[in-house]
Amino acid sequence: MARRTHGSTTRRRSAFVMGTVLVGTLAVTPAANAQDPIELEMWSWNNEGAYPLVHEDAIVRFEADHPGVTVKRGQSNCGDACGVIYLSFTDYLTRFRAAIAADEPPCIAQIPWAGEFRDFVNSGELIPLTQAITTGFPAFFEPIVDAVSIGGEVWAIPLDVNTLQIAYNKTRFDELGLEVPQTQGELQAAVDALGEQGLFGIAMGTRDRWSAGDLFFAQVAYTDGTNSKLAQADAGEVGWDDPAFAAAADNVAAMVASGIFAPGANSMDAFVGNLDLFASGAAGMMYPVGNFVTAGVADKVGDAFEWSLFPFPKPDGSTLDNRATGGIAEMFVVTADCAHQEEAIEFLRYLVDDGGGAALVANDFIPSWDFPVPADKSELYNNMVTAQATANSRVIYTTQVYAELLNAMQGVMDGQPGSTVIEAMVSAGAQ
Amino acid sequence: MAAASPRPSVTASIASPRRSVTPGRLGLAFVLPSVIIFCLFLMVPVFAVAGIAFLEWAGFRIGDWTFVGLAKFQKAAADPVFWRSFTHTILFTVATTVLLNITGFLYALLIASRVRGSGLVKSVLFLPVLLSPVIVALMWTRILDAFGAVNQLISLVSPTARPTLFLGDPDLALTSVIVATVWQFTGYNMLLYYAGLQNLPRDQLEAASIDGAGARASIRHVVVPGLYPVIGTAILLNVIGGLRVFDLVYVMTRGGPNRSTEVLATYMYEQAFKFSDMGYASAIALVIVALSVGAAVLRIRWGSRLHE
Repeated sequence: MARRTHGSTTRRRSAFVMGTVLVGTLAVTPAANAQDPIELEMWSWNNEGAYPLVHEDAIVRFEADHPGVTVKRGQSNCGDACGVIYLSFTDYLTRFRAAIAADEPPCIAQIPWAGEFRDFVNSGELIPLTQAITTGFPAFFEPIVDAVSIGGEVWAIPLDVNTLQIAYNKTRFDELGLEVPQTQGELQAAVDALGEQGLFGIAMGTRDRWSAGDLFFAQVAYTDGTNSKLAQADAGEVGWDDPAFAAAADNVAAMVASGIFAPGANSMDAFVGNLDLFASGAAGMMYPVGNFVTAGVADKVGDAFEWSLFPFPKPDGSTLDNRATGGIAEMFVVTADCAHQEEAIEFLRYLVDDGGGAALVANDFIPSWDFPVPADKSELYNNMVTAQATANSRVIYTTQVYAELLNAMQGVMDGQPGSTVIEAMVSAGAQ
Repeated sequence: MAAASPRPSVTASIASPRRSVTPGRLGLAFVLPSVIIFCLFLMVPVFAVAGIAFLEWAGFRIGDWTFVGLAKFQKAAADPVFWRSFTHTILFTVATTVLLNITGFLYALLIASRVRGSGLVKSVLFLPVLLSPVIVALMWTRILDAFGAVNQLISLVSPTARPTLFLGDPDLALTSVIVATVWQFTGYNMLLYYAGLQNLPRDQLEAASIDGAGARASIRHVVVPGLYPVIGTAILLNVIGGLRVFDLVYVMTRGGPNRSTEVLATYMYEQAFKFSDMGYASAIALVIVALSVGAAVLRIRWGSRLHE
């Protein structure tokens, strides 16, 4: 009995002590939180090239101006190019979805410009940036703001833009007396001349599909002179069997049939097998190339030959000027579950301020707003900036249609007729 | 005195009505952890998937779903890509199952015959089983590409031949993935058959030999019937492995070109993580589960007939 009394006393004392600790903790917590350092998490898949340098530049300036706020680094011992948290694109979206479902998304995330962007906006997991973008952000190019707007709200901050053009072996072209092709007929003539030397025409890698889609968009740039039908089709205002799309698919099929492209595109990834063909000199051209891969091409080609870029030529008889396709390269969203949204938006301001623009230009990226180009920039960079001014859209936001376009374009690269592309897009659009 | 009082045996204590620990309960206690883990990590997800197949759910918020009944199954029935994936899955499963069992059995016979070097063959053939399918897929991608080992061998025989684009040609891509799969898992089947061969009654083989049966007759009338249980198990494992194949296909071809190697698992992944249609992805997953369970039921029935 005495032992039981002793036990009760002990339990009461323990309860008192625990209660006191709990109350004390609750009383102290808000004050402690107010002084807690903030760590922002930002995800990207672009760890190749110079993107980490651009990210790191913004991080350093942001952290210097905001003591107590840091941006989480994904790696250590990385010198001046640690950047943010980089994940492989292969499973990037899977991990992003999982993080959202677990209520632990990164505050800032790179987002693809295609259909997945719209899916994430519609999911309610991102915050609109319409108000934020009016303060402390540059005046982004109007078409670029349109591209990140859905339902009248801005949902992403576009960092830079890119164009997709044909890279060509300038040295070999000069040797053969070839001019930069202005029409697809001239392109065919150039390919024939290269063929006589035992060389392939345009090397492409479509195993990972997306570049096959860009071949289609390069034709739509001419078959739809208004540069609006892709957006109209996304909105259901015109069909996916619009004559502009059918003509584009037929154009590609005709070029495949006439041997414009090096064989085996479907067995090579973009910028792997096709870059090998181009850099080794076995192919005289390579598509698509933009500022996102120029450094990689330069590395691989080295001093072997001179190379440059030209837009995919227009079909014979077209009265339009030659033009590239292009769009946003990197863009970032802020997640709804982010506990530090203001700080996240503030960090994005550093990515696109004057310092951010200078870092982009220094690393051969093209800012998504008007930014002065230094006089010492290369001819290649100026070429890309010029091409950007008239670049046409390469975006289909309806994910299923885009996916089926890519699949069907692989079929076209294998000799299927252009009509299969239209059938696939119409079928996917009807789902 | 102490020596005079016998200690109660373990059996007695189990049987003791005071403790009431029967052998059945003890057995249950032993298997309970496994049962709990099995239910938590296998049954719960399977039932969850079964439930999600009847929902419109993007996979972002647990509570953000709409009940759509059988709509996802109707969608599958009308979806040509689903049927292409289904056909490829069946083709892949049948081809790999047949090839794995034939090659596995032949290699097992070779090793069991104890010819010189058979130990080395056993180790070499089993080595790929230990590798990750992703590594195997990457390796075969390199072997089969335009400048890979196979094309270089072809060019030795026919120097003017253009490279064969194994993974870029819709007519060759699925076959290429099947070859890579068989290469990786032949060693596994070989081991199963080798174990089965070790357990064959020697007296039957000797009796067959005394009766004048040759090697082929012995294999056909003694060895193969003796291996029926092993054959059943090997086929079941291969069928289930074939039905749920993902990694080799995804890494080697990503289902392409133009969906010529799309299988149910890769299509399910696309629906879930590219199109955010968790309901449809779950419906496809259920089809895979149903096919696997169907294969298991057939195996059990076949096993029962053998025992009768």
